[in-house]
Amino acid sequence: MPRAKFQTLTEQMFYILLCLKNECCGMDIMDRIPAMTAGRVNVGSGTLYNLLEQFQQEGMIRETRVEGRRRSYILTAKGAETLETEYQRIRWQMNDFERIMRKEEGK
Amino acid sequence: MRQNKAIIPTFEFHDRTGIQNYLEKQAEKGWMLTQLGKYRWKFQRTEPRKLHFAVVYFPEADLFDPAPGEAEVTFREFCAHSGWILAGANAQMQIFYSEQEDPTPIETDPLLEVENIHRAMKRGSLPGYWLLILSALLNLFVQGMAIHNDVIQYLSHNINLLMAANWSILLFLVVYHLVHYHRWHRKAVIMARNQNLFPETRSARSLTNILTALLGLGFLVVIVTMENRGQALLLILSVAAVYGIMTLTELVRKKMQKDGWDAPTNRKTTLITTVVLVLVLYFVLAPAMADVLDVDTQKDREETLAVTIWELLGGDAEDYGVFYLTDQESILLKYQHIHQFPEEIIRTDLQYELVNVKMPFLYEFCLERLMGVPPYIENGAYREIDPTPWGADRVWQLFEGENPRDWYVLCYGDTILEIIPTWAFTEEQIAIIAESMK
Repeated sequence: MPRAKFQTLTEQMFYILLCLKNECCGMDIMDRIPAMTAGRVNVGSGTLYNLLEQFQQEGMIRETRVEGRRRSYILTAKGAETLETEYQRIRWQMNDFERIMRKEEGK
Repeated sequence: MRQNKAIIPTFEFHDRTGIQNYLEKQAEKGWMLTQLGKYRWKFQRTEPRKLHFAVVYFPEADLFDPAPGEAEVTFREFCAHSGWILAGANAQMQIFYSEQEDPTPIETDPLLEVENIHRAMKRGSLPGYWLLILSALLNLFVQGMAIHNDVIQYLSHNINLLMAANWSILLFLVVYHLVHYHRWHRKAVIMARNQNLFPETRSARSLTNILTALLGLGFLVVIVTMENRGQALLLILSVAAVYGIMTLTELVRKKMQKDGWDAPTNRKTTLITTVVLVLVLYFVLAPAMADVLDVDTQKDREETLAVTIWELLGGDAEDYGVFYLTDQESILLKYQHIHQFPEEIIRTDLQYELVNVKMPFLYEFCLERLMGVPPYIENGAYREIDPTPWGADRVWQLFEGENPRDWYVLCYGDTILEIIPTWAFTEEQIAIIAESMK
């Protein structure tokens, strides 16, 4: 069953949106994500380009500045809400893991 | 040692894995991609290097754009920022390479990548495939109609056979590529969604190469076996003209692109140029070439007649008219349909159809076709008669009920002759036919 677009976020989507809490341009995002995740997550340039376009179309981010071809974006309320929902989902996953796995280990 | 080389790419458009692997191997051998053309990819000799290649698709790019659009340039800058250098681009297909040992791939989200490829396919290759299928079906329909009208006439012309083979192979290849792509796409969407993986792509390059070689071989066989050198040259020139049209239209497109014309104007002009050139080829050049190359003189042609009315009725060839309704030869059959008549006498003429069967498996089929009874003859049926006076292997005569007609089908080795005079043959005339057909 195909999932609805951005109902859940991939790791790459999550970190791109997280980077855009503060105004940021595309190329900076490419550098910030590996720095933010100690190199665990890398976003390819093509993927980043496409995701920025799609986030913008969905109203999850908006363009703030254009300097030549350098475009900066920032998270919108809708984007922040999506990020928050994803965070809650991850937390529920974490809680469920703790409750089930740790409880069994504690027996 | 040569410094440059070019290949005709036989990769399927979506085969990013196959293309990447090929280019990486070429770089290891010291060949670097320098130009990604529509029909040719060019390479230049360099130091053998271990490079990583990435084939990515930018669906918004247009083959007719005068220059990459702003979005495309931004996309390329993103790629350059992560160490990917553009090696070449052709419309939506963009090829980058990286010298880094372990570069971050350009596409890191399989589902997005699959969606991107599909969008590029929908804008580029898929409509092209459907157009080709339509053209092939239309052409095969025309060929089918020609077969339906007169199968012997059809089979006795090399160009017909070549056209049928050409369009059939093309149709098969395009349908194969279409099915191949859709099967891959369906699998790719499922894998990307469920396993976050991109399934490798591959092209049926061997199949494409074999079928193309078969077509080339067929063309050569037809050319070599054509007795009419003028027609052979005409066929070669026709094929050269098709390539000429392709080259010219590509030159027009590139020139307009270079001069900065916008994509819609360039597209329209290129299309109009193609249509005009095709019309000029079919309606002006081809007939003109046929006239120039038709080297057979009337005298030469008369020498090819199996039976002549002047031998049967007496007099000189000049006293008679000859219509060569059909006089052609293919690798399968030689076929003559001739109408001869005296210039001065009305209601006297001789018609014959002669089929020389080169492939034995077609013999019975041709005999059956020639022994077809026309619908205007009531209760018509062929009856076998004594072949001895005709010097033939077998002879049949057409009967209308119990009445014999002057209508014969004769077999001489691999040759079948249907002969219809408007008078009753005398024994002497039958002997002349027997002598002529020896």
